[in-house]
Amino acid sequence: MTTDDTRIGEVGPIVLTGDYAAASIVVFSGLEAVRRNPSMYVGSTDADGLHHLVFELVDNAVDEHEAGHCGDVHVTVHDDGSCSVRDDGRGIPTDPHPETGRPACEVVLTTLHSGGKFGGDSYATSAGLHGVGLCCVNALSRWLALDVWRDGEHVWQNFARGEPEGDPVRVDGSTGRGTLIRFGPDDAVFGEHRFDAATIADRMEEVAFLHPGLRVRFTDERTGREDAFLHRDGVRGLLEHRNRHATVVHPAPVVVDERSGSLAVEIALWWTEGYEEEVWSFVNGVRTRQGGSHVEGLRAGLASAVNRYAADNGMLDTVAGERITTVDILEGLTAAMIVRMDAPRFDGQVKQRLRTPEVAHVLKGVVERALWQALLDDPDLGRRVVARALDATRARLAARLAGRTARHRPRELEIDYAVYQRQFGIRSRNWHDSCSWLTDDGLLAKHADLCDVPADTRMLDVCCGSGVVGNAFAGRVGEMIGLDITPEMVRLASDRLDRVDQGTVYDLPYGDGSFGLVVNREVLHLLPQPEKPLAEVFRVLRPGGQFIVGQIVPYTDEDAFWMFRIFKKKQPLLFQMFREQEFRALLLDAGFVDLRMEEYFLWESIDLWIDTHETTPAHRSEIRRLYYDAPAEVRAVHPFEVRSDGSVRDRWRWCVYSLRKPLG
Amino acid sequence: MTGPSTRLHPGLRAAFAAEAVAVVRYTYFAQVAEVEGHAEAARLFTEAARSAECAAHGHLDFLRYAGDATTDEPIGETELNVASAVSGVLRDATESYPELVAAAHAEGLADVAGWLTTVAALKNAHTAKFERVLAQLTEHAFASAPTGPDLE
Repeated sequence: MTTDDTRIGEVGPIVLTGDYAAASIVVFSGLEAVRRNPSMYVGSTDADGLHHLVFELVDNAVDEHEAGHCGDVHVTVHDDGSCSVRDDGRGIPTDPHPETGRPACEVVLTTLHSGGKFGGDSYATSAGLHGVGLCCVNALSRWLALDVWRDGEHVWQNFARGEPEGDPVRVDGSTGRGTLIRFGPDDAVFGEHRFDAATIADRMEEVAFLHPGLRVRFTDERTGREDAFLHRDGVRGLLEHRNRHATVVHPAPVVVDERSGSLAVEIALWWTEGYEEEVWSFVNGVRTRQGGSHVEGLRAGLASAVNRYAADNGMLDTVAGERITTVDILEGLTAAMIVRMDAPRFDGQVKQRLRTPEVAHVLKGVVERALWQALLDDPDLGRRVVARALDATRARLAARLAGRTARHRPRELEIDYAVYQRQFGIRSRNWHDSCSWLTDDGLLAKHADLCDVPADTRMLDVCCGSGVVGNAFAGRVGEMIGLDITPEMVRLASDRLDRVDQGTVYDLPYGDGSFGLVVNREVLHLLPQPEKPLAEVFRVLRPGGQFIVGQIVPYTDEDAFWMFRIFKKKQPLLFQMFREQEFRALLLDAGFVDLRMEEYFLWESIDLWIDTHETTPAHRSEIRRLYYDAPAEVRAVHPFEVRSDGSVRDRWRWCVYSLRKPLG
Repeated sequence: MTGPSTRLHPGLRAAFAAEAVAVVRYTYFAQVAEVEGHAEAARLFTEAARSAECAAHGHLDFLRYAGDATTDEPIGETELNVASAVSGVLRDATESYPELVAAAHAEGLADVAGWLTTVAALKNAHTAKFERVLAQLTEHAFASAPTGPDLE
């Protein structure tokens, strides 16, 4: 296994040239080394490595800010795919370098040097990839243009693949100050990878947050996007900004600012009505994306304080043994956290997790005391936080029960319809935001295009949800009727269909042969004994009538079990994950004929899809893990994407079927 | 080298099964611990799982002389191992899982039946893959033996 330590160990001998007399040799061999093995210097030659070039330049501006000389840094992605970083710092020195006689700025851009950033334990406190030097940016750029405003001069110089193109040009009479570097990344190194606005903007926001008072701007000329970040309020400011569109549980964040020995923590906490836990944590300026000891301590402290408060105030149903777990407290929690400490130890492949167990213990105590005091000081805060956690507790228990509620015996079927009504009733609030497939035009068209019935046909959209599927048949049929079990959905669908009835698919409230067309999408996997609802659909169709049904199905036998686990964790009411041939057989066994099937592939954001009431926080984590750790056999047949920020997109295979009830 | 005695053998087999199960239990527990934010417990489970795996392989080092601890088929070389895998996975696909699916339906547990159906499908896919590899290995053995297969 390759760890950061071994990579740093390999960099060491090359970077730490030390001997300045050898500088002229290093000028050549240094940049050659970078071009020969770019991953060693910028981590990779994929999108992460490409963005690292930008962050390297930004870090230089930040250094100037920390030294008290820079108040503004501006990153621009240009139309031609190049990127520039402009700061208002002192400007890179341009006077002759004492050792080489060349201008200092040229030396900095063409020499792998051992500056202050390379010494000692700088890698222990930087993200592990930083501090590679401007020369790496230069070496990995097809072209680079440097502008320096300094000491009343404007100096510029151009480079190609790391080599200077002539001497710097100097013009007197400039009043400006600062450095502008614009570079076009070398396609021979980074291939097809391009700058991603979201990645850069996220990082810029972090930089602004970690360096209060530094104005950070980002412009994307390709789309006209403009962002400006300036934080003066530390953790609280970050949280207020990140939660600007969120529905919050209490009016203002809880702020903790404490010191314990050599450990200093600043934490802002804010519960929202969202489902995800979002903690932005930093240790000595390093973003710890994967959390670690400090986040563990935070969680434990919160759980302890909230549980104690709830118990002391008689807010728990002690008869039922109700207890708020850590996972419940985390639902909807947003937090920003800065820890400053001596000698942090990290692990994980990119040093994104703190492993210093004693920190967990200290932080648990600090957080528990601080939150406990805040709850005592503000009874309204206490009431709201406990109520939010109890919501999560009760939803978790309900989700556990949901999977166990529907039972059938070979001859009878006992289904607690209230469970379906509750699950889908709650979801109806943000139904159309809950995933992309619900309203995807291409998928709806795939269903509607199969329609082959007379124009005056009476259509039934069974388990219609919000009615979008039935609505897609507008103009192709005479009358559109919907049926759903959930009152909220009946109301939603009434805007799209001519009439919506409330009822169950196991016992359709219609006479035999009432419809010329029945449509249905992504429902049958949620129903035990799906042959019963199919028999009902068959019954209410007139002979010769058409049935159009869409379903997400696995690609092969190899990914079905994996998809079952994911879908079951997402929706506890799932009963089966039909494979294509299995679903086909189910339809034909119901008596339908003339089967036609069309496939449709749709990229779905899994993060969006699982951000929903019926998926518990633990299940959301487990679902992500199923993607991260997907078996090779699954990856071989089922396309999906995990991005560097951990978000997931899955390419779902939709099969849309058209069938007929036989004539006579 | 002689294998373990008839008295020791069942014990060793049980120990192998226990270690093999421990690997999966600990890996699963580690995931739960990570999700709940207990990093130290997660690390302990992960490390214990790796050691248990090493121990299970150590048991197999001895058991292999007495045959596959699961299928009783002779194992050792890849051709034998693949043949044993085919025999095991074929039984899973055609007997064990179908029986479980029927049992789940009989108890009215539609979701459990749905789950086991997908695993049975996986076992079918594995059977086909192993059979394909076995055919290639056998073909290769025939091709490389100029005097034909050595029938002992």
